[in-house]
Amino acid sequence: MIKIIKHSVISDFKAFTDNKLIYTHTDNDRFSEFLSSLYRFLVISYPKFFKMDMLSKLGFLATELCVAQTEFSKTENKINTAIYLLSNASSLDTDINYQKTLNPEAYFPSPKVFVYTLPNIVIGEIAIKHKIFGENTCFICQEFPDKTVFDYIYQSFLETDIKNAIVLWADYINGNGKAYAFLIERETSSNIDKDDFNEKTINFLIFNK
Amino acid sequence: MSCIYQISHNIVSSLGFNSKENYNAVVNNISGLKMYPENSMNIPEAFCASVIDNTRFEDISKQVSNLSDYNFFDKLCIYSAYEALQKTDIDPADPSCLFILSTTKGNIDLLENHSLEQNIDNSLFLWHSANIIGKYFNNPNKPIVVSNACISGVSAQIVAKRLLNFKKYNYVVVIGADLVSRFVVSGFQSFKALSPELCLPFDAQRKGLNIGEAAATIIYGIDETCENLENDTIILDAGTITNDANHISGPSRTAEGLTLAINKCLENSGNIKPDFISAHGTATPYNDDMEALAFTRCKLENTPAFSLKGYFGHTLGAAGLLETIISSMALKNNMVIKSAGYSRCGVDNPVNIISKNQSLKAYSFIKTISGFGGCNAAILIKKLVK
Repeated sequence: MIKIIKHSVISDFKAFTDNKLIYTHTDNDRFSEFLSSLYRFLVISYPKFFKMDMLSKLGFLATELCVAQTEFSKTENKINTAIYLLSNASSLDTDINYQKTLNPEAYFPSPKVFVYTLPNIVIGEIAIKHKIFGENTCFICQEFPDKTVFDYIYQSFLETDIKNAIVLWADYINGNGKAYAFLIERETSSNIDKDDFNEKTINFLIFNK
Repeated sequence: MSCIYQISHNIVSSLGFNSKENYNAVVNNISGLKMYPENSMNIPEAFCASVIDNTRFEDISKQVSNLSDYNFFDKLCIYSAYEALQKTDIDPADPSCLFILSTTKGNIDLLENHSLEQNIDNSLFLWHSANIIGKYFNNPNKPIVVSNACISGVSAQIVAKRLLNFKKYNYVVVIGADLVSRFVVSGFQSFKALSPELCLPFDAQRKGLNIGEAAATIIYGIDETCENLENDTIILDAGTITNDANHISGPSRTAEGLTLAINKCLENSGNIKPDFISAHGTATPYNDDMEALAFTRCKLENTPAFSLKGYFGHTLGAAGLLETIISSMALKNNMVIKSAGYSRCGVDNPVNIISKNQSLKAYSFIKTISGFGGCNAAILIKKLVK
């Protein structure tokens, strides 16, 4: 019932779309610099990017890779588009950065940091960029794919008028991150050659198993 | 069409340790909010919050076996689910039962005494808390964690409904909880979103929100035809989530997202006209104005509405569940609850905020909620009438 239109991977300082290597960066071993250089490589003009925390930057870029040059990105207001975010560490990296501002000797809590201590801010950033008004839910799971969350996504397509969705795994902790993004669509006759969206296909596409 | 219905529920808050205690406090107009002067909890600025009485909770949770070694957050969740389950004959160890945890920050209080440089303790991972809770009840399924900012508790109910419709489970135990921590209080203060006094939702004098601590559980079940259910059973009829696609921390000026959520939710429930609105009503200037605009745009400006924040504060990941439970009990009792802290309308679009408990023959209500990240949600709860 649901087809994968396009997918992207950001992992080990490499970026892929549909399993094709798009960008790699070997000069520097800092993940934050890798994301900034990937941003520049993609020639996205979106200054808000530099205000985001690492998790949002990662999710944002994976989504950019995944929707570039698709029909989806040409649609104006996306009312029937959903965003499903999955993550293991949630916003813990930013939580720790925020906690550091609460040191009694140098107490200076910052709203700019605090706002990113919620994982679904990643969804907010993507929704703003792509004008997505549809349903959005953030799940914290140990691994990707998560069977129950996939059952939920399937049932959501069945029960509601969702046309398409971005399913995003974004995880950042201890200076390293990984993201997988999928643009999925309700099956129509025009996308019959595409892969089905289910755990089996995902495991094959991403992990080659 | 199958029915998704409430089997049992529980609330643990500053106002009590079960739903009934909490409901009775609310209808008697008792608030759990207290003032905390400067330097309380090692926070320089004064604040007002609703905090669970730890000594009483420790005492009461002794009746639940083997709880002493758990972290406070996990313990609260287990106690809340335990108390709700106790009133049913559901076996939580059965594979037909699924657990869902709704929380924004879980055990975030542990970060206070945690090294910020070394490896992070597992207890801080939200999935870890969910696993611990599931394991306590010997549940064989991998639990789900929904962390959707302030709308988590309503999101989690929508997840429960759809997963029941997926026909793999007979019961879903939805637990929502969050703590009042230095982390969260300081953060909302830095946003200038907290009022140092009691919060006044929709009122002209409102200055901001109060944080609240709570755990709340609803157990949902599925019935194929609704025919086996008793009269007055509480049904989760429809639910919608939307995004403003506008700002990560500020509500939409046009209330676009919430308007869309309410309209879609009502449409999905067969254009029911709800008898009352259980609003989000955080008492921040912007949220309440946005919500009032959404009600007006949805032609609900005359529908009786209230916020429960004046009793419990904003209980974050628990809010959607806690407020659904209290409102469902009010629905059962045919009454509309007084919106604590309201005396004079302070929103640009006048809405019908209730300033006195009222009896009202009611069949349904809509629960609305909005959060950071631009998310909005609405659920329609109705009473089964045969």
